[in-house]
Amino acid sequence: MTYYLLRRLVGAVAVLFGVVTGTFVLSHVIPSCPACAVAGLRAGPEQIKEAAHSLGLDRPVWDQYVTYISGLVHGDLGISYASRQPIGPAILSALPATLELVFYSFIIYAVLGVGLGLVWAWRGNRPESWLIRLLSMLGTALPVFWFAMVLQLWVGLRLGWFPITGRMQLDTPPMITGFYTIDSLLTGNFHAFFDASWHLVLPVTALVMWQFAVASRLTQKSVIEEMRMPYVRTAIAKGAGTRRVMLGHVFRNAINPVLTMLGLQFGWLLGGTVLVEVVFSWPGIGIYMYNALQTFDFPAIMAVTVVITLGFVVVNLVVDLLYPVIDPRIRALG
Amino acid sequence: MAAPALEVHARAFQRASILDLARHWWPVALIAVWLLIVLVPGLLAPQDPLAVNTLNILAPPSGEHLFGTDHAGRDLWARCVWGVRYSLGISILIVVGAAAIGTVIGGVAGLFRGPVDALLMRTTDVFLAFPYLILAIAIASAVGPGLTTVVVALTAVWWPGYARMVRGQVLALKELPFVEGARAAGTSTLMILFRHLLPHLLPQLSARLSMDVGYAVLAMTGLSFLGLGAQPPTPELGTIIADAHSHLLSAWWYTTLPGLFVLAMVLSSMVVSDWLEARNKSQFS
Repeated sequence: MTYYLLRRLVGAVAVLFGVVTGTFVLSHVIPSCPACAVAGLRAGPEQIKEAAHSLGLDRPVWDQYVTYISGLVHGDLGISYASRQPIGPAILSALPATLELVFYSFIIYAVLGVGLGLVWAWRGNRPESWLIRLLSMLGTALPVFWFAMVLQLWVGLRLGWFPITGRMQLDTPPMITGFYTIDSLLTGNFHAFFDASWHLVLPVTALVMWQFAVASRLTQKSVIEEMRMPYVRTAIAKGAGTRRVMLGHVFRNAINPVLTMLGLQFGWLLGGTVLVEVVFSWPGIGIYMYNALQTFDFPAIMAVTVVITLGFVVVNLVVDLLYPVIDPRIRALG
Repeated sequence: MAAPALEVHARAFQRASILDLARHWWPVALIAVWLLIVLVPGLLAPQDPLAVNTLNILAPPSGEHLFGTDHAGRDLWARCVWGVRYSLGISILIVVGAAAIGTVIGGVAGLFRGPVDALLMRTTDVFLAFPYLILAIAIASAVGPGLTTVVVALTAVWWPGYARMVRGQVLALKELPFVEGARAAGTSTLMILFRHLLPHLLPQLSARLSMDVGYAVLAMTGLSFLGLGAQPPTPELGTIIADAHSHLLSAWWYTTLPGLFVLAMVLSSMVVSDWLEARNKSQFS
């Protein structure tokens, strides 16, 4: 058990190290001249040299690498070439918006995906299974940014049911958690709560439609596979009801691959929010990355990459740590 | 025991293919139609996708312009059809390239085991630890926007999946007597991989390939949507949809219709993949 936990932890740290090194290498193979960009268009060789010096670009690569890593360990993500401000605070202020979006989408599609996947497997060939199957195929095949735009145009603009951009129309609630929905509830401001929720509907729908498909299909597959196991026949033969067999026996055994998938999907969700945030002008780290892309602001792009990957690795680590809690076989074997 | 059975199935697989094609004509027809569009888009769209007409901007769909026109007065139908050439053609390129790299790396890792295997698999671990879209964005931003960039970035994020899959299959296959026989006859390792193992890998590889072409279309249009892929005026579907976003209010067709092409491509790839998988199952079980 301790060995299992330790191995997972070391694995996560190793992956993070690889990722950080990867982004460092990436940002150093760019055939561009960041110092020229910072120094400005009319800068002479002197100014460029000075800019390179102030950015630390004139030092040997290994030295820059060590500085970069030690900076990261201390939470310093570097300086943006575009704004010349530290990147860390900028990302930190954009993070709650993204997390709020991702959090609600994750909860909704995990519940919907696993629930509908179970129904799909359980119901076999009945109409409800076909409907879920159709929805799941559509969800997989929809380009998320296009679907977001279609929602924005037809449901937001034409029907006028939901706002089409931003997080809020009213004044933002005081910062407590950074989640506008939770903050407005905590301060008892229900108007603000409804406003914030209303703004969440379309972007969350786009993300849920996209990811629920994967979750439901995998749940269905996993459940069907378990249903073929001999212990299921035994349980039925001993007189256990369908509900008991499905929820008590099959589902418990089928949940492991589903959990792994949900963890991986969280990463895809973080990638997908970039696309959805751009469509809905949602002021999160996706928009931050998009703006950095337009100005070739590499430190900012790499910083967002590192932050998102960190989130991804942490979520997968949590999933790994959940296994022994859910599955006694792993607890026993380690 | 398992080996002769597998070989019989492999032969059955070959013999059944022509009969199978006749019986299941529609997935094949689907592939043919898309390939035709990729190879000769002009057949379906006689109009020039680049011809600007400032007198006829953002015109709604009509008999003359099936999908209407875009903000430069170009025929949207022609742009979408040519967009399929770019989006689908390049996605096929990406996935085939990634599958080739992944097959060689996964095959070598599976056959050699030891430190080679460990090194290659840890490398794939790091690649798989990135959310793929974010990694592709990071690579694309380093290389600079363009179609080549998309190919590089997406191939880089796609091969580890294939390496994983092929390695797993090779590990199972290499214990079978026919591999041992080939080895005893003095066949080199790479020859074993290509001549003896590859035919067994193909059924699963092909199902995965056709699925991944759809996913690659989604990823590549996504990158283009962010401005990292094809640059205007190239008619690529992600770029077209990105252009449409600033005309959301004035032209519903501009936003809505190009996406249907992407949707149709991905759905087709899923249908073909399902068909291949069902075929594999019926022949290998």
